[in-house]
Formats: sequence, structure tokens, C-alpha cells
Amino acid sequence: MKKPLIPVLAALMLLSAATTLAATFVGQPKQAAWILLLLALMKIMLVALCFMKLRQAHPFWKTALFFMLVVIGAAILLAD
Amino acid sequence: MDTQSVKYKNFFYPPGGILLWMIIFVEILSFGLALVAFSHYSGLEPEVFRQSRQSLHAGMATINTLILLSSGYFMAVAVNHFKNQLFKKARANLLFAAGGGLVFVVVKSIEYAGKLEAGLTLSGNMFFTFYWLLTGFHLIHVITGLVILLAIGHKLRHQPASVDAEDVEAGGAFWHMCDLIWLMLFPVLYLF
Repeated sequence: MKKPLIPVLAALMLLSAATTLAATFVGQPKQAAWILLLLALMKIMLVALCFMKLRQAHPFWKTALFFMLVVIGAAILLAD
Repeated sequence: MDTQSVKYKNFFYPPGGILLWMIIFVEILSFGLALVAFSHYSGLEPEVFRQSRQSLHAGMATINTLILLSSGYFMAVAVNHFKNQLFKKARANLLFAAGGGLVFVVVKSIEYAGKLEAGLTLSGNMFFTFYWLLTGFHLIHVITGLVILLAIGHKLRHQPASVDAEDVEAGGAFWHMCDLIWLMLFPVLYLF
């Protein structure tokens, strides 16, 4: 049975609103960068798993995408 | 579990096809490495980057994020309808997805026009070199995705039975890839 996609879209919209709020109200730049990247990671994984149906794929693809994003995110934070 | 789910569980058949997923990984890695370089230069010239970032329109970028996410939703629904042989509904949702892409291009063009008017060009400083290259390269992806969606939509209108499910799924995966790249670019370029 196919899972409905509307709740996924709603979650993505909420995460986008949280992104705007975090960018506006978190004063510490380093802390804000952490939060923004974490929110971006959540949004990307939601799109990949639910819209692109990666949820149904071999575990390798999900794990590889997650770890690649974590490594890129960490590198962005450390490079600053 | 249906046969398609069993097929997807095979390492060689992720939804959209293994070739497209290899492209998606390479694209994410390329944009990711560019963002790491951006972040590195931001550390070297923090004041230039801070002032340049303030001249960007974060509101427009937020609107574009919401547009791309909604467009991605319609694309996912279109693929579902196509698999259920509901070709008219699939085409309608595909056109909504393409419409979202078109709005994204229009908003981006308005943003670009403002930057050019203000003299903030590719050669302005390191921030704007990255800004133009990263957002411009992403925009090329969106336009390519739009062409793919419109081609599938055209075929769905005239010969729906001849459209291959794997082509629709691959077109959808390419379209979602534009979302993924934008979700990486948006916070680092506009909000940090």
C-alpha cells in the first residue's frame, strides 16, 4: 500500500519554517550553522526516502547518501 | 510486498535506475566540495562574506525552496499515478511540477537582475564568484529538468501507453536531484 505524500510535504514545509526561524533567532553563528545543516540533512533525507522512494531501495543507497551528507556537512563546518 | 518493491531491494535497481543514482551521488559530492571550498574562503575573508551575504535576498530564496519542495511533491504524485495507469492525473501533476520549476526560474531571474543592477557580478569578490557559479550551475540543472518533464508530459499526452515507467521514474529522480542540491546550497549561501 502506498503511503500518502501530503504529510511528507507538510513536514518539509515545517522544517523550512524552522530553518528560517533558526537563521533569524539563533545568535551564535557556529550554533546556527550546526542547526541549519542538521535541518538541511533532515529535508534532504525526507525528499530522498519519500519522494524518490529510496526507502524501498537496497540499504546501501540509503546509508551511502546519509554518510556522504554527514561528511560534507562536517567538512563545511570544519572548513570555516 | 509487490514485485516492484522486491525489484527495488536489489542493489542494481534503486528507484530511478543505478546510472541516475550514480549521477546524483557525483552531483551531490561536486556541489558539496564546492560548498566546503566556499566555507574555507568564508573563514579567510569573514567580513567580505558577511557583507556580501547581507546583499542577498533570503526571502526570495526561501520562496524558491518552498516552490521546489511543492514541485517535488507533485512529481512524486505524478510517478505514483503513472504506475497506476492514471495517465491524465499523472500528466496533470507533471505539469504542476513543471509549473513550479518555471516559477523557480522566474524568481531566480528576478534575483539575478537585482544583483546585476547593483553591479554584483561574477568578478565582484570571492563570495559572488561562488554565488554565481553555484546558483547558475543549479539553475542549468533546473532548466534541464524542466525540458525532461515537458518532454515526458508531451509524450504522455499523445502516446501514454508507449511511455516507459522507468523513464518517468528517472525523470522524476532527476527533478528531485534539483531539490536535493538546492537544499544544500540554500542555508550555506544565504543563511550562515
